[in-house]
Formats: sequence, structure tokens, C-alpha cells
Amino acid sequence: MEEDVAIPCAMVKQVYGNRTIFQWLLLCVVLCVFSLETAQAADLWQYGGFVDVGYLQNFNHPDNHLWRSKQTSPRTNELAPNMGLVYLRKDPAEQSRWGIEVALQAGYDTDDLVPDPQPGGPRPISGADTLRHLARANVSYLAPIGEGVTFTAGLFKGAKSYEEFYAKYNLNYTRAYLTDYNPNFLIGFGASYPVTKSLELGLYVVTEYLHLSHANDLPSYISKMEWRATDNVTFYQSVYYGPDQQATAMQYWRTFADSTVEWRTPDWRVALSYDVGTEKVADVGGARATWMGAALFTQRHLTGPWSVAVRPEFYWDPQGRMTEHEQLIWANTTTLEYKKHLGRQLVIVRLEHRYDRSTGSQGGFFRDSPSSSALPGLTASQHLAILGVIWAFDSG
Amino acid sequence: MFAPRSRRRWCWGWLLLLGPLTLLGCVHAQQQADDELANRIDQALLASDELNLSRIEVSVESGLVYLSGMSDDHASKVHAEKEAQIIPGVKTIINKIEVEF
Repeated sequence: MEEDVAIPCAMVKQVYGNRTIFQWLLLCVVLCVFSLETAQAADLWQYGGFVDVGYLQNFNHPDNHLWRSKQTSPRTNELAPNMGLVYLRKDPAEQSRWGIEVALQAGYDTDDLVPDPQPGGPRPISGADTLRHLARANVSYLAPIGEGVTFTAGLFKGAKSYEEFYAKYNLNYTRAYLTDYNPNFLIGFGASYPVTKSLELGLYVVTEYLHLSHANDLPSYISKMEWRATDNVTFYQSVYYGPDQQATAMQYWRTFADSTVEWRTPDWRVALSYDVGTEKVADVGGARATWMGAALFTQRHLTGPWSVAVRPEFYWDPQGRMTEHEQLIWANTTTLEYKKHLGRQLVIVRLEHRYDRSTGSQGGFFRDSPSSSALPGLTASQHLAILGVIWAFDSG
Repeated sequence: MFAPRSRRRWCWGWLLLLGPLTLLGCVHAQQQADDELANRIDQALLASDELNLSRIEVSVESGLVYLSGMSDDHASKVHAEKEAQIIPGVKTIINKIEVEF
């Protein structure tokens, strides 16, 4: 029975396999050319890009310059080009229903998108080291059904989380741990529909939790919801369900939920995000692994281009399923932001202090190692002073 | 009371002090006007019944209105611009809202 299910699902996986991402890209380019007929809808086209460079002063002075258990902005005590991205997109709209999105990226933030091979778990798909530079490659169609169903296929944005993978869109320069361990990119297909003016639902069939990993040939599923409860309060919810191990029996499927409630006024943004994930791990006799994290995002606009943001957070990974170390991390980030639009350009400068504390049997952050030891030393806490500069350009 | 030379110095001193202060006052007044306009546009977007205008950011710089942030669809992006356009005091809008899908 399981095999019967596996055959069509394997085909689905094949369609969204590594090589076909390039075919998607080609298809997107072809669609670009054919969509020139929609010249009257020129405002639907948008292109742009951004460069994100940071300097993170780590007062533990680790010899390897690395921030342990961190996927984005991982390099410290050196000038780090963390992200560079260029994009081209055409929005699907009533006057021209097809849409495309292509984006290329590079920088230290893309390094950990390629997963480390795990026994019994996922391994990177072939060409993953090249494919990590592809941020978006999808086509979409706004079908005239009800209020408009948007179908999307290809490589698209992952879970509907409050904080984005890219620093440009966030309140702080460094991201919370829960953002690092979210499914930020997904490969698959699905649809979203605005049920009412205040409620939108989406359902997608995707390859895996991490888009560049491959553990089996069964698909996974993710649902997204955005509900505007009042003028100032919005709920976001994503739920992921699917197999992420070589053992594909349903008892080993991963369940993951990302929930956010946001309260917003012109001068205040306050959001609470909570993530929780669980799965039985076949390789350790079916023992259950669970992880969770939460972050409270707050930002107060001061005047003109100035804002200040504070974000306390925790991430608990008792079996090391996400961070690869059994640990509990607490952190607090305080940011002073200067954000200035200069025509089509945007400059963001963030000055940030961050304190992280990691406890647990395998917890800790890198520090300068004793000269006698070849291994990097660990210490429970870490202070960072950060300067992040982002320059962006958008065609509008 | 003062020798002519020291009086001249005293005048220059005041000019050097008052010049930047006057300039700062003008800049501050402009900044205040920009912040108030941004606030009114933000209020209007939050009060709109469109779903995802809450993720749109508004900033005003010397009377020029910038809309940025994200929306879920093109209709919301256009709607946000229309909402901003009807606010008194808005002249030029640069719409940099990104549609995510």
C-alpha cells in the first residue's frame, strides 16, 4: 500500500527535483518573453536587489570566527557580505493573470541552506551547492474563481512567519533562532485564496522541510493562514506535515507549526511568534524529538528615519534535532535603526547589541581556544556588537 | 562696553550659533510635518478592510511619500496607493511595495 502511494509521489518529487529547478528557471525566462504582450500592464513588472553587509564584533573572539548554532549572519569579527540578491518578478493580476518570480542570491547566509548529511535522515540533493543561489523560481496564475485563486508552482517563499529570512524586511539585523530553523524556502505547488477581505488561506504540496535536502520520495504538505482580526491585530499561521526521514511510515512524519500574533499602530509594532515541531526519529528506536522557540518582536518608531527595536527570544532543542546540539538558548537583541529612502534606493543602517546564552549538555558558543587544544573552546554566553548596512534598489 | 573688534567677534559668534539652530529648527519642523503625514497614511491603511495592508510601511521624506514592505497580491499594492492618495497633503507617492507569492 505504501509503495502504491510512493510511486506517484516519487513522480511529484522527480518533477521538483534538482535538475528541474533549472528547467523551471528556463520556463520562467520563456514566460518573461511571451508576457511582453502584457506591455500595457508594465506596472506589474518589478526588478531590484539588495546588498547586506555586516560586522559582528564577538567579545568571545572565537578563532574560527563562527557563531555556533546560527545559520544567518554566521561570521563574526570580520566584515561579512551576508547577502546579495537580485530579482525580477511580474505580479499576477486581473489584467494579466500570469506571474513569475526569479531571484538569485549569494553570501554567507546561503551557506547553511545546504543541509549536512544525516544518517537515516536527509542528504543534500545533487547540485545543492549551486542551487542555494536560487532564491525564487516560480510561476503563478490568478484564476478567476470567486475572489481569485492564486496557483503557484516552483521554488517559492516558505512558511508565513513574522520575521523574514532576509534582514532587509525585519526589525533587527540578526534574525531570531526560530527564523533560522524555519522552512524559509519551499519547492512544490499549491494555491492561496482570500476567503474574505480579512482571511486568506493557502495549501501547498512540497518536497521537504529543507528545500535542498532529500530524504525520501513522498511529498509533504504546508498550510498557511493570515487573519486580520481587527484593524490592529493580525494572526499568521503555518502548519507543516510530512516525512523528513528515510523511514516514511506516518508515525515518523514531522509536524511543525509557526504561529504569530501582531499588534500594530503607526508608531508601534509588537508581535509574538511561537514555533513548535516534533517527530519520532526512526534511527533512535522511534524516540520522539521535539523543539520549540518563541520571540517577542517590538519596534518603536522614534522620528523620521529612526526606530528602536527590542527582541527577547528562546529556542529549545533538547534532542539537537534542529541545531545539532542539545541545548536551550536565550537571547535578547536591541537595535537602533536608521532607514532612509533615496528615490528608488533604500539605505538601512542598524546598530545592534545582542546577548545570547546557551545551556544544556551540548550548549555553548565558540570562544578563543587554549593554545594547547586543536578544538574550539565553548562558553555559555556571548555578547555581540553589530553594525549592519543594507543598500537596496527597487524599480517600484 | 565692547571694543569694536570684540563686538564684531561677538556678532559672528551669535550668527554661527543661530544659523545652525535656525536650520535645525526648519529641518525639525519639516520632519514633524513628514511624521504627521506618515502617521495619517498609516492610520488610513490600518483602518482599511483590505487584508494585508498591515505589513506595509509608510515613510515621508520632504513631502514625498514612500510605500514599502509587503503585500500578498497586486490588488492590495494598488489599493494601498489609492488609500494614501486621498489623504490631504499627499502629492507624490513612490510605491515600492513588494508582492510575495
